[in-house]
Amino acid sequence: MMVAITTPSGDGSDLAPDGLFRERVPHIITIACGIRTMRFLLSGLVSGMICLGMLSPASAGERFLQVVSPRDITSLEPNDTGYHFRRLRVAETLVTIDPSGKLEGQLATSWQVESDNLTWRFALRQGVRFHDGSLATPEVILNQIKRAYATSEVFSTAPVGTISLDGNTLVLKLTRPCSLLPAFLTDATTIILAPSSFGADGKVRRIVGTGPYEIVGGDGKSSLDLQAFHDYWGPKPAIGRVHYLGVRVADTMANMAEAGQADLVFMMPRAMKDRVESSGRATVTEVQTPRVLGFFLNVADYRFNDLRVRRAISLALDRQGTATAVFRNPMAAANQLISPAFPAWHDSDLPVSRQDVPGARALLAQAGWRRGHDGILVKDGKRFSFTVIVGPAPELAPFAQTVQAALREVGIEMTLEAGPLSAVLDSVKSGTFVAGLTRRTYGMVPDPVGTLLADYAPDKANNDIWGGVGFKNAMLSSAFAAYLEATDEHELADARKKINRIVNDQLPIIPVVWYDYGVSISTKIDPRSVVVDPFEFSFWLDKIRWAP
Amino acid sequence: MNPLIVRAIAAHLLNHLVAGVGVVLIVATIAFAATQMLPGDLALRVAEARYGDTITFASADEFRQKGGFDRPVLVQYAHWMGSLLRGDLGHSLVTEQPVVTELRRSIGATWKIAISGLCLALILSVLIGVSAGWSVGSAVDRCFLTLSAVLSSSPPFLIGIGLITVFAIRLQWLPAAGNDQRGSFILPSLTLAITLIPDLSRIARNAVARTRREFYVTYGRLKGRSWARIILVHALRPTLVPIIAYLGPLAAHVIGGIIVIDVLFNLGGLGIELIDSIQAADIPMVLGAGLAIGVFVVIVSGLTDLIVILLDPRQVRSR
Repeated sequence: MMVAITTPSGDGSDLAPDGLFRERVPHIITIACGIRTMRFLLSGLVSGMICLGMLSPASAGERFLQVVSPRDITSLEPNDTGYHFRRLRVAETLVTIDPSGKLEGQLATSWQVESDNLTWRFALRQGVRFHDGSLATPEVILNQIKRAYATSEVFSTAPVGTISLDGNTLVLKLTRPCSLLPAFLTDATTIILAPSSFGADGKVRRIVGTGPYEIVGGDGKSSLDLQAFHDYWGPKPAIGRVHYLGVRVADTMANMAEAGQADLVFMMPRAMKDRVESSGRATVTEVQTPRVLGFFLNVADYRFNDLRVRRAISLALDRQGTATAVFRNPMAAANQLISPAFPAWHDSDLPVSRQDVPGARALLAQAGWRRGHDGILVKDGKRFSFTVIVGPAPELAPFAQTVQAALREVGIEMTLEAGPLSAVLDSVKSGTFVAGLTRRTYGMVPDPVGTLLADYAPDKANNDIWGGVGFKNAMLSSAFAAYLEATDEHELADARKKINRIVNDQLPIIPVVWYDYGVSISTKIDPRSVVVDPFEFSFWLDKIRWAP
Repeated sequence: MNPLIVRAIAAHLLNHLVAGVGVVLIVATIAFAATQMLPGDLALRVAEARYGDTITFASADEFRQKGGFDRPVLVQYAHWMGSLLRGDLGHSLVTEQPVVTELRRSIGATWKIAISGLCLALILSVLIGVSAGWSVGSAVDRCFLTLSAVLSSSPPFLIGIGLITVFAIRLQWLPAAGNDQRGSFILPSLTLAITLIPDLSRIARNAVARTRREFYVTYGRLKGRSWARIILVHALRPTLVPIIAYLGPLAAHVIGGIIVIDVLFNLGGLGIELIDSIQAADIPMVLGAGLAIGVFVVIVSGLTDLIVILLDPRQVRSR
């Protein structure tokens, strides 16, 4: 039809001056043909794409729970990423914590310490099967616990002498009393794996655990397909299939929640909350974690070796302002190292830290720092100026800028330099470390002393930033010993108070804010079935149900 | 087939093979040099990528030994190059998996986007280019030029965010991210295609505008052939030659776009792999990914040259 319209008129009107044929409406034909062809080609292309997409493993079959968190699985070694498999309920430990944070038996049904306070006996659950069908025998568990003790950073700080079996009981003989031993056995490095998980070289080749979900697919790095394990020893999960995806960009996580693509997004940044909730497809629930963001100092450095200076810096910081402006939660302002996530450790009677610039200036003056011509403090001809490396996490840059502004008010010049955590450690190693703005979690085991012990071990004082470089305190070591050897709650509380007082008074680390842990929960699932665990031990996927 | 063309194709393939090996070795050397220029202790970077916040000096020492970071740079280079020539890319320092295994996984996600994005871009560019080029100066052409300028100045992430907002969040037709759900690579492919269309369609437009003035087009019309037939049978072939020829140099641009798209859509492809490896100073993976990209560019470049010869055998005589 269109071709007929464009037939030359024959009167010469469509001949160009150069004699060539001139077309008046040829582009209409082209467009018409083009549209038809384009439709055909596009529909073919889109159909092809969809067909290819349908071959994807996660798309086939029954409805699945889509879980997202910002973590990739960098290796299968329990010491590196055991927490992944514990969170996803693929692998289990002897002891765990229940959703309220209390210790609970998992592969151990009960435990007790003998009267010598050194011999611990863990009764092992019988009849537990691994995902490959084999039995989790006491011998297998013994080997795993021995392996974990040899490799784990946290569990290895427990004073374990020997590990042996007595029938169906695992016996750990300690070299000195340690009331926290069951808490150490919640550590993700102590997950129990089947012998078939290991290669001939002793390395983990696949994860065959005992949890309510088994791994059935995925790329093994950023995605995993899980399926309910039919031989699980406990209650069966309500949702049969789970797809896990590691997503490291916060915006992408929010996009997935907004689009209704992700049912659960763990570690959703606070900044994304309003955006996600405004979609009407998800709600964000938050809890306070035991993770602190603060100033980690080299207390041997001439700028920070005076306690008055450290206290002055603490006074100079506007924690409420930072918590409100950067983290959008004034309750995140940290007036002590340990957050309310550990009620037994957190001193709720401590007053809220308020910014006190005159007080800070006075303390700095007492420490001998005087204002120089440019407003920066000077002592013995040296300016109070230093550089801190700021990590790549999105909240760290604005956080560092607020700290920088607060310090500038009292005459301290802090220069910011972008870099990874490894750059901070590199500066510690090379002896150039002065201060760092970074974060630390105290919830690797359900008692912060597990991490504090590792951080403040006297042999780490000069090469580890977590306990403050160069920070040594004999009273702290004896308080740790008293805590571990305590036999009743009264002794524990006393030791806890001492430890708290030392770290909060001496300020080798100046806490600024505590992190919140946000979870986006899709309207497709029953929100009452979701347990938000501030210790990030588990996603408790087996408890989740679809919305009615 | 004409023996002259067969000989030309054989010579072309041989030339590309030789040049390709040279390019791959140069890319490998540049990738190695780049990793050596990363600031700080490389072993600490690897340890951080593996252990996150629980990184220790002991773990860094372990990686220092494994990665050979304590050896002189030239020794490291000779060792790696020797392994490469034996076809062994080694193991990732972070995951301890063979580099080939890691690359296979990430390339799997990337090729789908690259191929479908390129095909889509090619088809749409030809259609748009023909429409605009056949009527240079018309409203259609002016609209095309404006839109083309707007799109070519839009970065891929902006286009991607726009598509996600419309098709994933508002309409919920397609997934916002990931690579293993139904239709999960449609939006990334479309994003890539849209970033390529302005350049490709401009080339198509100019080629069509030139072809439009050729005598054989006028002759076809005088013989009573329809415009559709003239375009499809006679004009399309010469139009395709410059477009296909441009795909070679465009391959490197495609890689740049794919890296951004990969991160935005969380595809777990070569882009994320390369960024992660660089951040983690995972030298074997950086080298492997760099090499894979180099090989991709060489192959695309070789293939496009070959297609150009097949589309326009006169190219043989001109070489």
